[in-house]
Amino acid sequence: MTKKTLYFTIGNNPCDDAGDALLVAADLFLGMKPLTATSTAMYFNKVDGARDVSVLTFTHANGDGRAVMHAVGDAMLAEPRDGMIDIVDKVGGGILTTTTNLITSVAFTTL
Amino acid sequence: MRRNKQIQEKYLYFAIAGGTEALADDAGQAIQLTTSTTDPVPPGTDAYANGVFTVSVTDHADHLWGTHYGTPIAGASVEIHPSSIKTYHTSNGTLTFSTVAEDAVYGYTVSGTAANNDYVVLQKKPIDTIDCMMYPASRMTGIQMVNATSAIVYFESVTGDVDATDQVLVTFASGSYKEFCLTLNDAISDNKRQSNVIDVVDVMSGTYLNGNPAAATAVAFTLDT
Repeated sequence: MTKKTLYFTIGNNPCDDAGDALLVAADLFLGMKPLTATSTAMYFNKVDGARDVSVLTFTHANGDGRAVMHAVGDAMLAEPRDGMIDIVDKVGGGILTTTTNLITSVAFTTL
Repeated sequence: MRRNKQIQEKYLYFAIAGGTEALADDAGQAIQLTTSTTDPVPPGTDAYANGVFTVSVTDHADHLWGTHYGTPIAGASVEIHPSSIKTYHTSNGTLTFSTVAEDAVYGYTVSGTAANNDYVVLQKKPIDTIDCMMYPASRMTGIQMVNATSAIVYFESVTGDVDATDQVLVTFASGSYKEFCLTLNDAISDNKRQSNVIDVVDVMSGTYLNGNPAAATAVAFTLDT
């Protein structure tokens, strides 16, 4: 069985420091909601197994929360052979340019 | 007995109705949104250009229109193009339109008679934390009937609190609980729905799953904090 995983970077280049990138199991995903007109949060059960959440915050153009949610959701529905999906890769570009172009920055608010 | 194949993950999207307000008998080339549309008024000077909200005006014989609009029929509702906006003040919600003299294509010149200038403002995109939500279908725990016209869809909370849930209250036509349940079940169980996020009830954009057989009209969120 291939476990689906989701890959994010915050945009630091080189991407080589703590907190520069995150790989999270897709089945930890809890949901997404807008925070403001220009930011949307993505929630996961905490990757370290603690009873808490990991929060990723995406910054985007004014009012694009729906578009970002749909693009990220659509990206998560991909079925790559190796199971790993680049959701937002501000460094390497990734194959999913829709999300990478829509999202101007990524922050790992809580990990 | 035939066994179901494993049901694959889906992502379910819900959104409330966009805020709206009517501004009647407006004098001058500017209108001022109030907190009746959204509270506070939509943020960002680019809000109108980005389609966060729209403004439509009921055409009157003495309105002047740029070429983009053709020749509107008096009494028809005409959406004012984003390119017509000269300025939008996010502090007080004042929106100023270009006149036709200023922009022959997208301009709009109001009537000198205030009573002829009636507008409708409508929010079209989410800007607040309770405007929309997206959940994995696997996090749904059930749908509870509230009364003849509403039900609560429960999801595991995005806060990760195992003792709490997020609630999506959906209002629909009287007696349509089962139709709503069947619609949601269809979204969850059909493995062919694998290419896109599923808009279950998106009142803001007017997008509904399966043609909205339960005639859902409203969504409200109660989120764990």
